Amino acid sequence: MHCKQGIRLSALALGVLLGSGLGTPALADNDVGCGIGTRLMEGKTGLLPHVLASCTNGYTLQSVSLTFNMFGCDSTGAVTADAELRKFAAANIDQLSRDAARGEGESLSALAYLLQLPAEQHDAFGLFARDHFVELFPNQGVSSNEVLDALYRLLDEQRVQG
Amino acid sequence: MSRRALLILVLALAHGSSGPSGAEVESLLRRADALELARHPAWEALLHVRPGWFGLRRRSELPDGEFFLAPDGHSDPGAELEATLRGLLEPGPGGDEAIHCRFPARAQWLAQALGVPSERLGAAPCPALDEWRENLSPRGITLIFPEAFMNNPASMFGHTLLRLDVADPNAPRNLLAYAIDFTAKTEGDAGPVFLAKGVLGLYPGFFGLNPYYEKLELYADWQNRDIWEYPLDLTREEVELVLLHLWELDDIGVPYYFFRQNCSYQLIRLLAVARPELDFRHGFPIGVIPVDTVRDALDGFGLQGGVRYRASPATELGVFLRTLEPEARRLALALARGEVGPDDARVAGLGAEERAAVLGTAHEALRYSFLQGEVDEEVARERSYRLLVARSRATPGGVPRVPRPDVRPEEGHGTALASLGGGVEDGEGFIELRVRPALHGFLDPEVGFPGDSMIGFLDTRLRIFPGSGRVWLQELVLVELRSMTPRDDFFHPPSWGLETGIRTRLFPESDGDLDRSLVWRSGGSLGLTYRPGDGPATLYGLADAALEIGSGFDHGWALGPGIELGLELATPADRWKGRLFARGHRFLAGDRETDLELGLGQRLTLTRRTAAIAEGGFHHYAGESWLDARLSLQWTF
Repeated sequence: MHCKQGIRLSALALGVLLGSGLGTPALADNDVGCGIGTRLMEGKTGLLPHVLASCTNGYTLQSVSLTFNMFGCDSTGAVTADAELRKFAAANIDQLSRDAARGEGESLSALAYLLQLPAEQHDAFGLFARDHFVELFPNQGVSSNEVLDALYRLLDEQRVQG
Repeated sequence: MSRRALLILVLALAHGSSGPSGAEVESLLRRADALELARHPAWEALLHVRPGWFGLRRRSELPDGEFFLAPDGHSDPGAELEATLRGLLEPGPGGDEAIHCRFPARAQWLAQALGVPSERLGAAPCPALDEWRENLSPRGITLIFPEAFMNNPASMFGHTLLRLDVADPNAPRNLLAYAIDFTAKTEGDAGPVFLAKGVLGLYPGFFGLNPYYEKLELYADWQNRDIWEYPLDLTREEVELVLLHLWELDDIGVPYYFFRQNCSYQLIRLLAVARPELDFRHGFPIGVIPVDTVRDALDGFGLQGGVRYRASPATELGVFLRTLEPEARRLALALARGEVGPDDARVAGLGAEERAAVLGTAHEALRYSFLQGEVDEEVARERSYRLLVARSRATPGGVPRVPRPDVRPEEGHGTALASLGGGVEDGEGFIELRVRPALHGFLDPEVGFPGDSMIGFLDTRLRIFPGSGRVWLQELVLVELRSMTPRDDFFHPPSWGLETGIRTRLFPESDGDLDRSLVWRSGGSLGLTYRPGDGPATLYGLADAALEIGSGFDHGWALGPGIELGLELATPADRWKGRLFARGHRFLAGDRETDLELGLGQRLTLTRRTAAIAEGGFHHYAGESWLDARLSLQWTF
């Protein structure tokens, strides 16, 4: 239930991955989101008004625990290197695609933070994502892991050129 | 010497042989007793003790079980304090099972209250707790209030959660912060079963932690609710104590009551460990309404920095559509419907900035239509992708910002209402008293409330007729809902209403007099609302069906269709509002009668809490006609 190390270590591990030029970490492939619009589909509510909606809405079995849904843990309690990043990307693929097309937005800033980019580079990161929109999102069925892998590749190229 | 002190003395003597730690326990127990810690508000907050009527029966609201160390800890805070201190000081299980690891907030508070170093009440590390705390590392707590969602008055009741901020309240990093919520574990029940069990407290509720972005996705992205974020002014120590207490509540199933001991109630009770004097001071005592707990929390803590308003995608879309010129707006909607492709010459012909605005708006409009179930999934994804690619090739940024509403939800009128007035009905004068515990009606000031919706619970009117000395229950409407969101060329929600409750009907007698009689009336309506040019006037039309049951009817009941047409007008700052409506029913089964009403109402806001109301109407039923008029002064709290 409780993992041995927390967010800080996973972020550090990611820094190492990026620094060493290993572009495609193959971990945590189990919770991928499958393309733009997938999350929207899951939340589809249709036309029926929720007459009884109130405090209770949002009930799910996963929110019943205070520890189960924490970042950085898998079922064995071991740290998965960039699980937090991948989880965020999977859950926010719709927002990320929208913000990348705009070249700015809160989801991109949060992603930049998870990538350990310094705060003063977050605006530039938004424009970078917009400039490489088609490479990051080559089709509407792209998974969040494919987006991240493309992003690592692009950032590595940037690093080599820079 | 109190009986408790005597008991402790006896216990101390009995434990005298258990070595120096035994003596220390007894000395600390005596100190706790002398300081009356068992009656301390902070200790009561830690145990979730609430006094019953007249302050009697001090019992915990948490269920008897693993949360309590003493067998009678649930009903005896003193016994629980003693058991906790003994558990902390005497040898017991180690590691995560140690008492100071299971109840770290109690341990911390007791050490502080007894004036002993915290190590004395548990020094060994708590691996699971320590790691959990390090992962969360909160810097502050923000109270989150999602507003009602469009076209759904039931959600006006609202919801709250708490966010454990990891950065400054407005930093994007807080998307990654964890949100605390309290939710009922309903096992998928729905409809009347869900309602009945929820009201009766048959569901266990649990505290949960989830990334804030998941909560935003649910409330903002999917339910299209605007969200308000209130950073509360807590010290780091207070944040820490709340967090430690949350740990104590892990996996404790607390009975969930829809109206009173609900999510917002439990979150305030959680915050109360930091400020035991925090209490429910707003609203009507029969229920806890989330927006009232925002008022309570702001009274108790104050704000640390500015309040943030997070417009939902639907609200943003409304602003985007209003920002565009009519021609560009038509083009954006044609793009969203797929009638025009992103590579169309009309799009390419736009300036880069306008193209960005049109494509961005088209994408959001498509998204909204999809959520409304108007577009097929595969079509929506393909079209959405093409719009985004085209948007990425236009000017970056330039997304219109949604202005924050001038009035925040907690600055709107109070959720409870009382009024006193007088009037004349068919020539007879009366005094009218009205009480409505919740929440928002047609003539109430709109500021701070999502417009065009109403929800009323237990709206009760009592009339006193001084002429005859008669006291009469005029109305007791259990529930009344109305949603009247205006339609335009893009948004086209239906208007609808539901009601059930007791109302008074006047039945003409053979001698020409009117006989007052109570009927149970239930009905539902469906229709359309328009607000031409987004101006001050709103027009609506509803078709309905109503069933009325009462001894005044010859057959005991009447059932039939009806129609209602109305016009509402409001001054820009909503100081004054007026409405005119015509309602007609043709009962086709039971008593076959025609019922007509022509009504006029207006409200003038006097102060934040008070308003003057004038209403009047013409009534026609079973061949007789009469008039009524009333004036009242209403007070919201």
